[in-house]
Amino acid sequence: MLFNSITFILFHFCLVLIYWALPRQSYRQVLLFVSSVIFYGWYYWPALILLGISMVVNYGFSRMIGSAESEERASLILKIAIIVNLCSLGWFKYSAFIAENVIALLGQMGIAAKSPPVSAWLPLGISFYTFQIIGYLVDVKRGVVKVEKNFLIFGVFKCFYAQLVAGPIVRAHELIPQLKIRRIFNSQDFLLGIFYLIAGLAIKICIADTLAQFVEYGFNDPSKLSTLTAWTTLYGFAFQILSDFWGYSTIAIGLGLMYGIVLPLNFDRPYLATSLREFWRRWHITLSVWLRDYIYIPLGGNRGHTGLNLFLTMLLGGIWHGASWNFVFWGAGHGLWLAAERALAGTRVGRSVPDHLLARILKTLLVFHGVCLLWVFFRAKTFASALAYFQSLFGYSTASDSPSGNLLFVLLGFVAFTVLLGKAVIDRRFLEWRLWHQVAVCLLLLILILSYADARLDFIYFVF
Amino acid sequence: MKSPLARFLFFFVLLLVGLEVVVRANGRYFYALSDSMLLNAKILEREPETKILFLGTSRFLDAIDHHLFTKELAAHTGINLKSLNAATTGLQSERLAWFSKVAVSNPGLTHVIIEASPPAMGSDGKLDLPGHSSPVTSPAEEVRFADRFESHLQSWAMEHIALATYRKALRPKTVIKLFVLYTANIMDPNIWSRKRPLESIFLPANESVSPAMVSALEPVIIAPGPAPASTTSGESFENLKTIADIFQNSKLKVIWVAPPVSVAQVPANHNSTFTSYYQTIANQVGATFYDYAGQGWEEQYLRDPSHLSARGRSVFTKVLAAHLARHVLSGKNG
Repeated sequence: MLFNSITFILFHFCLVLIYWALPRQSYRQVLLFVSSVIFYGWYYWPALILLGISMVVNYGFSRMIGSAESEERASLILKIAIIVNLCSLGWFKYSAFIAENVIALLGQMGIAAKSPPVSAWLPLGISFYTFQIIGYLVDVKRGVVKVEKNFLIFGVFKCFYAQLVAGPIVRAHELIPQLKIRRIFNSQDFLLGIFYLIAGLAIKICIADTLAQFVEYGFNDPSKLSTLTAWTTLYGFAFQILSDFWGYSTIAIGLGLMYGIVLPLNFDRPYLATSLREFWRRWHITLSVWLRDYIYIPLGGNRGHTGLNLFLTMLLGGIWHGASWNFVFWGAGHGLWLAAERALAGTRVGRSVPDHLLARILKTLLVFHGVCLLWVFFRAKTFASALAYFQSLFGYSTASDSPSGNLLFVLLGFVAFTVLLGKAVIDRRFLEWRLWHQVAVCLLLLILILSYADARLDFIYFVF
Repeated sequence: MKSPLARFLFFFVLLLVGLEVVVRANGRYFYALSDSMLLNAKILEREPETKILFLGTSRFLDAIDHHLFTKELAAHTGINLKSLNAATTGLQSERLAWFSKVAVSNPGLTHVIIEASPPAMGSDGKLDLPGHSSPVTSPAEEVRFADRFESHLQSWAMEHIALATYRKALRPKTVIKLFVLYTANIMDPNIWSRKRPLESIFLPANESVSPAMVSALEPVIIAPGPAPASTTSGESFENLKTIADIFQNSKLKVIWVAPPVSVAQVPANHNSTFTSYYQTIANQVGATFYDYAGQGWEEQYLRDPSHLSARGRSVFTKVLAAHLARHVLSGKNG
């Protein structure tokens, strides 16, 4: 079930009404669990088998870690649990990629090899729920959270439909307590939830899906593009991916709020960052925190080889996004940049960088363009295609087939949209508005959603 | 209602229902706004005195200023023959055929001038016009129950909720078309569909065209005559022939016009296939074909190799008016 489908909107509002009518929290837990299972199975029901197995196995692992007599035994079980989860992720997401590269490598060495059996499909949201459950298991082992004995609550934590498919990646201590306590209906939260749902859909449908057409055109054949169009298309993608994912996360937070459940913020105006470090504190925040807590810090964090740790963390972050060399380069690019930034920060040059308004604007522009250039690897279908795109960006081509006029118009529209909605969504200013203001904005957004809801496109992060 | 949520929901639903009522009551206008072809049909319906109709793609849209054409024609013939340029971008032959059927119901129409472009008009593309149903999702997606369910919901909403039915008309850019509809009589409605609309309003190009220039730019005229060596057929040919037949059957005079292109574009656009294609149509439906595509105009009159600029439009409109006044409206070659 896609968030931007009529089926889902009806499904969700029916559930919300039933949820608040139920007298006991345990009934509500059952409702959330069953509805999440239906939501996931609706998209592709065989995926439920995998989700079910993962749920039962990880529930077992968490109970075993929680009841382990010694630290060593708990560590051993955790290691096995992580390996099992990563093997599952690896099989479904990376087996084809690994097989393809191994065969190519053997071919280079003159050894002919047959392709081994690889996974033919990628279960929806597997990367997200795998990371979420690994985080939970580690937290149980570290004693950050108590092991959850109630399978129903564990199940809802594992597959709550608002954030199952593409995050935010929720930590156990953030969600489980909210599932246990009986929520009292809060009209302010519900109102904010409605606004988040409408705003998120508007961001996705009106901006991301509109930009997608221009971006698809540009990245299909970069050799056709003039330098100006190549840059405009790249800016288009930068805002497409932001609005696609920000839109999704905003909807997810809104859905949660309608149940009285607060999900963490995932985006905070990332393109205003003045350093890449700050960018990652504003972009896909829940993933950044996860990478920090479960990869960067265990690798050693700031206690030595900081640059290497940063590089490895971002490299793994890149690989998490997808099974292709482009994601490896994308992650490595971010890792190198973060490491360089970190190294520079400790030097006299780094400390002497001014921090007045103009300098901050320049730094923001620099970071934005650096991030945009790395997006080329993220968006291009192949490595060769990414290189061809760089050629269009820096080749001073004056080819004339350019859709940039329209694209610039849409981009300007997005900037206006972001300014208008940013404060309301991120800073929760919506609740401070007057009633007429709230009604008018929601109605206007709803009309925009209706008028642009022409071609229903999947969310970009669904494939990760 | 003390709760902010209750007040919000009350006014939100109230306004939504109000909007639904407004859109439902004015459905025919919102319907027309959702598609440029429908808008043209509505403009034509509102202006029954229109005598000459231009049909074509973006090339004709850029090439003809119909207010200027009417004025020039009146200057040459002394008769005021009101014209309308109903060319639209992204035109497919099926859409053109639909519009042709609508256009022939206009009692005042006497001439139809159709753009003759390289024979590339296929029948693919989505149709969203009356009498044509377009599936919400592709047949391949219909296999799964979930998709069928969503498709049924969408179809139901499209049928029963006016806000969904006319949703395209609610886009900001489309709402502006309401203004276009009501000002079509005094302002060229196509200004908004072309590049640089504000420049066309505030700094309209008005190139002077001398009689010598009119003579120099005389087109090659292909009237019904000997059959070409190659046989032309295929889907796009049949589609264009169908369109010509619709007008011929209604006793309207059909003229095909190939607008000019840049010097560099001439070899690609203008070859023996192109000429034989329109010669065959001319033979089969008894229409005349005015070929300007072999001339190769200077860059200053073009915004790209196959689309005229504002200056080019001014020149071409005047030249075409002069040629048609001389050949067609005087009876010669008509």
